[in-house]
Amino acid sequence: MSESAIKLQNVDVAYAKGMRFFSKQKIWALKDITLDIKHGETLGILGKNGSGKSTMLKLLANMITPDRGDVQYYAGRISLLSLQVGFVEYLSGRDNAKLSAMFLGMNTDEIESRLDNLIAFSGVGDAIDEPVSTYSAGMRARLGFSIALHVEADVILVDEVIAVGDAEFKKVTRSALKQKIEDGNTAVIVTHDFSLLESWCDRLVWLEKGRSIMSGEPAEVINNYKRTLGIA
Amino acid sequence: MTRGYLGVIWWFVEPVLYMATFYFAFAVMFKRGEGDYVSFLLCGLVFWKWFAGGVSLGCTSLISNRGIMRQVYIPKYIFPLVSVITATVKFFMVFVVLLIYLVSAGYGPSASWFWLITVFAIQFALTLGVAGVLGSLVPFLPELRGLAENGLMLLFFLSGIFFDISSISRVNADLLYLNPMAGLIDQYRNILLNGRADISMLVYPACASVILLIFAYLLLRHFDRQYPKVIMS
Repeated sequence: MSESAIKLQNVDVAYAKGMRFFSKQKIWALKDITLDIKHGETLGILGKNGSGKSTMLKLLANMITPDRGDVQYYAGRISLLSLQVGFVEYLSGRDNAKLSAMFLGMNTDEIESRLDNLIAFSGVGDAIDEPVSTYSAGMRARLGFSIALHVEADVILVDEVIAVGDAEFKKVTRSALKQKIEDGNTAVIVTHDFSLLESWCDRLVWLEKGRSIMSGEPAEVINNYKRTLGIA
Repeated sequence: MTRGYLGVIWWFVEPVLYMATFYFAFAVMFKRGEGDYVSFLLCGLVFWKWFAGGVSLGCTSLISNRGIMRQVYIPKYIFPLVSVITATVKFFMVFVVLLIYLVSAGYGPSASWFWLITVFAIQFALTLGVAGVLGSLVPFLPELRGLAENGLMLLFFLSGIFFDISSISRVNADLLYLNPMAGLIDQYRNILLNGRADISMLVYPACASVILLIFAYLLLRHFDRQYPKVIMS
């Protein structure tokens, strides 16, 4: 429990402004973030739109490097669950599932052994062999979620996906995620659902304009956050 | 990899139509058929199309895979590599058609055809090098894509596809041979139509390819974790 999974030390992340190649002007999406995510911990991230939540997940997923500061990854596979799933449109749902799992470093045997469960969970049925371009938004979300869930990841990053889909799917995804968390998986969750954050997370971080302005007990952070929004 | 109604068959039909267009224009309409101009032309076109196809796919490969890029970390050189391999598979299907045509036109196989493997390797490296360099920069400079398309058009006319470079004035020829594809196309013709290879002519294209490849790799590695920040939906 005390071992670190991902460690951020005074991390800054900037996006170039305007003319991207030559511009020296920068927009700081994350500023001076120091965070130590422990193995088995469930961390929630709270903040308004544009506060740096998504950038934080990209950084934790090891997709971008910080402009300043240091990041240490002690965990192996890190799986990012987000709304904008990277499907290859003309490949079937089955091939997309295999591809995504491969990109996350699973070998063919591992993939084959999970594929049936994955497809069953996604609930897309026979459409699994149709190109993803024919899928509805709901089917895409289901498949994407199912892939991320069935990949054996050390850290799961969840970006706002819990609110997707119909009531039934919401229930299924929530209980599946809950199960992962109870099994001791490390998870980082971004959502505006206060009750979920409070009941699932061990710790909350509140981001405001790229800075971590508060971190600690979920109930306490949420109360403070609500107070500044004027909804408490 | 099947898009469209015809799927994989289209990979075969499209280049044959492409070759047929030039055959119709030059051999039928302009009656440039003398001295077997058609074989000469096809031996340029087929190999050029491989290069141009790989480069223009590779150019946009990082942008068009932005979805995957934002989902998982992948070393970015994979994208241009996949583009060039796709173009290569398509090329080999057309190459078979070309060989059938050449043999039926009386250009029998010769031992020198083994040299084709070397020329293929160089062209693969060259295509990947150019595709990689352009692909690595296009996310930062989107206009480069249009520039590259026009550059390809210019080189299409200057790579000696329609004429024999060695038949023009020395100074101009030397200038045109700076384009590695010109030297490669010369050697394809030499091997396929004349049954001999001039290996010394491959040294410059090979060196240029290796330098471009290294350059492409360094660029893609340098910007590896910048792309998810730069490429927006």
